[in-house]
This record gives sequence, C-alpha cells and structure tokens, in this order.
Amino acid sequence: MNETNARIEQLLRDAYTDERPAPGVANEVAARLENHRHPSRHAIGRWLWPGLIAAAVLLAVALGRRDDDNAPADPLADKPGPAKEAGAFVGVRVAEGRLRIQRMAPGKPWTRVTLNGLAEYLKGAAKQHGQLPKIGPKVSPLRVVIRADRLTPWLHAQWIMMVCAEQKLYRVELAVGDGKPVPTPLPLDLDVGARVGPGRARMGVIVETNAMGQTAYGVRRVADDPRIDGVDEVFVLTAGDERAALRKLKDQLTAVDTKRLAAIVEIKAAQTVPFGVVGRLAAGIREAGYRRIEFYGTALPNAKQRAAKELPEPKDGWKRVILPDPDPIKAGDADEARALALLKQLRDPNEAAPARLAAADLLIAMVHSKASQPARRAAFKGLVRALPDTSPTATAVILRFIRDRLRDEGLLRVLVHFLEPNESSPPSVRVAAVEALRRSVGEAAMPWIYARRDDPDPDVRKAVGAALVRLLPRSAPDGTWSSMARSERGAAAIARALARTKTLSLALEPSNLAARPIVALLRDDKLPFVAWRAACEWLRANLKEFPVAIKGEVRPEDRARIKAAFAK
Amino acid sequence: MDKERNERSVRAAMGGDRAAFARLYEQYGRAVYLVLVARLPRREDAEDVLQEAFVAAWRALPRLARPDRFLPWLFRIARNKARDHHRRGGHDRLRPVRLHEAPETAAPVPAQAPEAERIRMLVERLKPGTRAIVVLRAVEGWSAEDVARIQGLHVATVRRRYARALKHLRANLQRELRT
Repeated sequence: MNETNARIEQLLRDAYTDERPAPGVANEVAARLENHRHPSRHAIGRWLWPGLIAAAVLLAVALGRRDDDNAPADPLADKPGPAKEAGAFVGVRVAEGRLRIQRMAPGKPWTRVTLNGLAEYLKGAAKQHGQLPKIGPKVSPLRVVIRADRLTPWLHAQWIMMVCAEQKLYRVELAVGDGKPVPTPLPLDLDVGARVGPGRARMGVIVETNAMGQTAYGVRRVADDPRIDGVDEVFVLTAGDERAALRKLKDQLTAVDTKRLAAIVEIKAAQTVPFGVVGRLAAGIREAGYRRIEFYGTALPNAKQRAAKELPEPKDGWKRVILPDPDPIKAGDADEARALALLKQLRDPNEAAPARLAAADLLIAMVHSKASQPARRAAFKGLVRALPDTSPTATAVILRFIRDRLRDEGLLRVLVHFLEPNESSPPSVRVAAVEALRRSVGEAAMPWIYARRDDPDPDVRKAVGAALVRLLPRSAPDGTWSSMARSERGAAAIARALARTKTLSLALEPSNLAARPIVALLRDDKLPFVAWRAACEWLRANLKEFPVAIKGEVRPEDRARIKAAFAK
Repeated sequence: MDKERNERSVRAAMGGDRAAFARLYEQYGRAVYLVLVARLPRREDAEDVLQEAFVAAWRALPRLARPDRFLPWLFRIARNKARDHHRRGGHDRLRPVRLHEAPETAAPVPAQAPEAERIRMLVERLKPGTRAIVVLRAVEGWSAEDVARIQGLHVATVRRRYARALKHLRANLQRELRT
C-alpha cells in the first residue's frame, strides 16, 4: 500500500512539475510594490488623517453640547419618530411546538415564552415604539417576523398572528426555517379575517389537505367555491406534487389579467397544514406580482392554550413522532422497524406507501429537524446510502429532496449514476434524475442528459428531449461554428453540412432548403453533443418557423424536439 | 521549512525590505499559486489573484501582529482574494456555457493520456479543499502540520483527508487502467 502511495505521490509530483505561476507575475508584483508606499515608512501619514478626523468629531460633539445647553426645550422631543423605529422588529420562532422570542434586535438571545408572555411583551414593545401617524391611529410600526420550521402546524402561526392583531401590530412577516421573511401584513382593520373591499380584484386560495411530511399538493382552478365568499376566482390546492402545484399556481396567478399590485389574494389553509406549505405559497404569490395577501383567521387561543409551555397540536392533525433515539441509522434494524411501525399508525395519506418510503420520509424530516448537526448529517448520509437499494418511489422522493437540499454540492455524481438503466434505476428513477439534473445543475448538465437520448424507455427519452429543449439557450453564442473543432466527428459533420448550407444560403437563406442539411444531421444517432447543440441553435437562429418541407425527413422524436424549440 | 529564516525575512519585510519580501514570494509563491489553482477555474485567474494577494500582503504586513503566523495569514489573504474574485463574477456558474467550453460527453479521462496527465485530471475532480491538501503535501512536500496550520484544520483531519484522497486516486487510476 505504501509503495502504491509513494508511486501516486511521484506521479503527482511529475504531473505538477511545470505548474508554477508565469515568471511575469513576479515582475508584475514587484512593479506594483513600487507603486505602493510601504505603510511602515509612513506612520505619520497613517495616523495623521484618522487623528484629524477624531479631533474634528470631538470638537463637533463639544460644540453640539454647548448649543444644546443654550437651546430651548423641544416640546416634541419625547415623542418617538416613526423613522427611528423603522427597522425595529420582534422575532418569533416556533419549533417543535415551543415558542421563543428575540427582542427587537438581531443578535439578541432567544427567550422561551408562552402565548401570554408573547402578548405581554408585544404590548410593551408596541407602546414603546409608538404609532404610525400616516397610516392611522393605533397602528404600530414594529415588525414581527414569525419564523417556524417547515412541519409546524399552520394553527400555531395563526395564533401568533391573532396575538399580533390584538396588540395592533400589523406588519407581520413569515419565514420558513432559515429562509427569507415574506411580508404578509395583516389587513389594516386589524382583523385577520377576510374583508371584502369594493372595486378590488380578489382571489382565493384554499389549501385543502391536512397532511404533513412529504405529502404533496396539486392545484385546481374553480370559478366559485362556497368556502370563500366574494372572490373572483378560487384556486384549490389538493393532493399531488407540492412543488409542481405551487409553481402552477404561481403561473396561473401571473397569467390572471388584473392589476396585480392592487389585487388581494386570500389564503384559507387548514389548521394542520404545514407552515412550510403556506410560507412557500405566500412567497410564490408575492413572486407572481401580488402584494396583498390575507389569511383566514381562527378562533383566538383560549386561556389554557395561552398559558401552555408548549403549543398544543391541532386536534385533527397527525401526531408528531418523537423517537426515543432520534437517529434510526445508529439505532439499527430493530429500532428502525419500531419507527416504521410508529409511522404506519399515523393518519397520513402515505400510510399505504411502501415502508422504505416511510423510512425515507422520516430521514428527510430528521434532516429538516432541529436535531444536533451530527444527527442530521447521519440522517442525510443514511438517505444517500438508501438510494441504491430502496424502492423506485422512495428513490424518486429522495432524489427530489436531495435536489432541493443540496443543489449542486456533489450532487452531479449521484444523479448521473442514476441515469444509467439498471435494477436500482427503473425508468421512473431515471426520469426523476433527468429532471433533477435539469433543475439543479442546469445547462452544464446537458452533455450527461444528451448521452441518455437512446435510453430503452420511451418515457425517459421523452424526458431527455424535453429537458434538452428547456435547457437550450435562446440565442446562439458567438463562434458557434468555428468552435466545433474540438470534436473531430462533429467538426467534420458540421463542416460538410456548412459547406452545403453556405452555398445554398447565398441565394435561399433562410429558406427551408438551407436548413435541410442541418436537420439531416440530427438523424445521426452518433452525433456528438456539441454538434447537436450547434445544429439546434442554428435552426432556431435562422428559421422563423418549423420547416414544413422537411418534416418527413426527421425522426418523430427529433421533430417534437425541434418543434418544441420553436414553440419556446 | 526553515522557520527562523522565514521569520527573519518576515520581520525584514515588515520593516519595508523589498528583497526580503521577494524571498518570501520565491519561497511561497508557488504554494499559494497551487492552492489558488485548486480554487479557481482558470490558470490566468489564479495568477491574477496571486498578484493581488501578495500586493495586499505587502500593504498589510506592518499590521501583522505575529510574524510567526505569517504563512496562515498569507494563505487566508489569498483565499479571501479568491472569494472576492468569485464575487466579482470571475467565476459565474450560471454563465451560459459556450460551445468551445462545453464538454463533449461525460468527459471520461482519455485512456491514451500519459499517467501523470491522467492523475492530474483525477486531482482536478477532487473538492477544492482536498485538492489543496494533496498538492501541498505531495507536490510541495509540506508536512501535515504545516498544511493544517495554513488551512486552519486539525492535523488529524489533514492526514485523514490526504489518505482518503490518495486512496481515491489509486482506485480511480486502477479503474481507468482496467478500462
């Protein structure tokens, strides 16, 4: 082993023998040093300006004090100005049912409180910070940032909002986990319920299911729904793919023809809906251009709930599982089985899903949880280890999670591995891997995706085609043709095509005839990626519409791909 | 590394001695450059940042409180400069890939390349931190303690990462040879 290591080290030394900065760099450094005075030689210069500035500041302070002594008392001096408090906020954090507050400055320690304690603190803080005269009496400028973990029931956030409304604090912001806060000010009548205003477009969003964990949502658009009155349109989130649903909802809201800045979107979510879903929903709605988001409220918390040290779970929610040892990877098979048994008792739509899926779900929840960092890291490693031998559905879920969580930190290798058809990568997994590569790695993943265009499964081929079309940049970069020399086959093929194209294009470009040799290239199964890409870019850049005359010459899958490129 | 001589050079450079600073560049310029090459995508970027780092070090030398910690301090400056370079858009991940830059396939290491070139390509696939450890230890011949000092890591961590990297390189090299 040592001998092999020594050989590797020798190889490394050989490989890097010539790796050194160009000699010119040393000269440049020397030249630049000439231009920079060495600070040690100019100590006086170094201290002169700071000294003068300090003296000036001291002088100004002294003069200011003397002026203050002589000036008459300002009758408004005691009243706090709104601008002064513009940045003041109270942080409220909910995790595992426990409520903590951070007092009006970043970096201050978090204190655990009950709802009563929160209300008391907010009352004092609101009094201290006065009111916003421009907006109306009794409205505090203080911001309240509600930060909760993803699985917190929506009810807890609703209660905190109700408490804020009681104390006339309307500037509420929601933040999921460590994410960016989304401003969701309460209505100015200080009621968190919906309020019908004349002449303003109103839309409603109903979050229907009460599932937690990885359970997902779909979106349905209806003209009217009895659960929300007085709105123009209603979107209902139902079981399905959560992220896709949120994206679709955002697209639909973007497409709505209304003055979005003035329109109001009302969200009615069940008490047990995860906070993460509502938080992301609010962020998506803001991204779609809407600025007014209103939430349907709930009954004020009763005295028992207000005094509770831990916020009680909603009645219809599913129980939070707290395992004796929160790390099933360390705990071994017996405890893992126990964890699965516990999971199966839950009233979760995933109940019927395979046990592996439930285990994956548990591990994902753990990675998201506030457990210690080693425990979360171990859970994450467990997820990655579970990838090769888990069921296809669970693999798809894990891949989706990893895509969201890691972006491209070492993810590429995992995903590329799953592109290969084998026992652990059935078509559904390969489709998920293609999609994950497209989303998380983007354009740089095109060669890997392109390499799978001859996959035996038609669904995978379709996903590959769709991903490539979506990743193809809109404009062809400069030097498209001249830079093809890197691939000999590609260069030769392109050169042949180009020779014919150029001759024809003198007279006919951009006719369909000019595109014929380029399109013919796409029929080559062994066409290198760069050549394929250049051909597609040329077609898009030079033709106004899909070339009808050459339709018959293109394979059906290529035709769909080119057509989609044009449609885009 | 001759620590006493280095410290003398550092003290002289702190007093404004350019020749002493040039000696420091001669001694550590390549090591800094190798670490930067491990962090930046292009050689030219690494050379630019190397310049920036040494000029910044020259300007900040009089403020260096502990001359015996010159080396970690210098590498920290270099790393910060590399980060600044990233921020300025020197390495924009979302930049559209131009055709002449796009890898043609999944870029397997070419089998006909000589062994040294092959191992170099394998090293370039390591994580930047590990790559820096490998080049400093194997190429520059630094001890694990020195590498740990400049990387701000524990010695055992450096040893472990180095051993793991060698194992990884060995395994990949063998696999390449087999295929």
